[in-house]
Amino acid sequence: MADLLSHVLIAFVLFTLVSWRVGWLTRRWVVVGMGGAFIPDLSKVEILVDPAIVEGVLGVPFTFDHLSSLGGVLLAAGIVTLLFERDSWPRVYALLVAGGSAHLFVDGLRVWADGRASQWLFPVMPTWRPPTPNLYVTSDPTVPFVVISVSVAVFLVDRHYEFG
Amino acid sequence: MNRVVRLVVIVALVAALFGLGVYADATEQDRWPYPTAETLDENYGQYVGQETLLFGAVEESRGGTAVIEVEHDSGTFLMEVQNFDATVQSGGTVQVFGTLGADYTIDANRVVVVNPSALSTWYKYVISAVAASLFLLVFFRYWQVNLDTLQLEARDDG
Repeated sequence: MADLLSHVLIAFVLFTLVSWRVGWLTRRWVVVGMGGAFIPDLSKVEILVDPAIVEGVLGVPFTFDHLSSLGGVLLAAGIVTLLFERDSWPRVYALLVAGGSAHLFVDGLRVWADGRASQWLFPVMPTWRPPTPNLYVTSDPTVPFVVISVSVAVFLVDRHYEFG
Repeated sequence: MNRVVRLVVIVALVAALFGLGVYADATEQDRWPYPTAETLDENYGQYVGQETLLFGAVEESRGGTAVIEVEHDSGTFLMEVQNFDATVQSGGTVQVFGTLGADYTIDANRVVVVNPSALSTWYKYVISAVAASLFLLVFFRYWQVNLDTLQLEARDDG
């Protein structure tokens, strides 16, 4: 994964650019899409809750890794969507899935020693590991530097001009 | 959809999400193209000569050889990495793709430094915490919790 700040800001840039063409995609909805970028990193809950403890309590194999996959995003987005008011559900769900998918796609560009990314399309394509262009490693500070720079530029343009 | 039905659907989705986690772990060894850390821990000798991809924390490295600690579900084991051509401090994290040799050795085809030092991991935690904090500030500028309906709704002034 890239760092979470980069993922959230990439979602900000993507949804803000789209908002210049899509009238209903106001800042309120851009923020929801940014929230979707958090979903795959929910797998990091394993830092706080050891999956072995879950397995011991429930007696079944278990991992949090699936949260960093398409299936995890689709289900977790559904749960979060139901926390919103009824009229918002279609937009909230679409934006959460889009934000989460953007996160998975960016993660699929990072360096893997064997040249193949993780099985992030699980369970739709449960065994396929897409080829990766090996663009970055997760601890590279260049990534947040570039993303923050682009985000600031988009933020300023968005505030200065009226689009739509 | 009233509150009870909404709660039932949420519980059903949480159960489905949990079930997906069970399925993912139960099928991991069949889906992954290489021996996993778990399978190596159970019966290392069976996989000697096969290629694999391991993640590990560097214990020490010198002269083209390193020792990494590989984590699995129930503990850790040490691997000696030959042809280790990366610069990384103790506590850093690497990916190693190579061929398994006898006695927990691996002949590396490629080594990728994920975290050059233990501090890199903390850097990612800190920057992620900053991201979460900033997001929550911005999110609740546009959305609020309606305590009567227990739903998130758009703020009138957002």
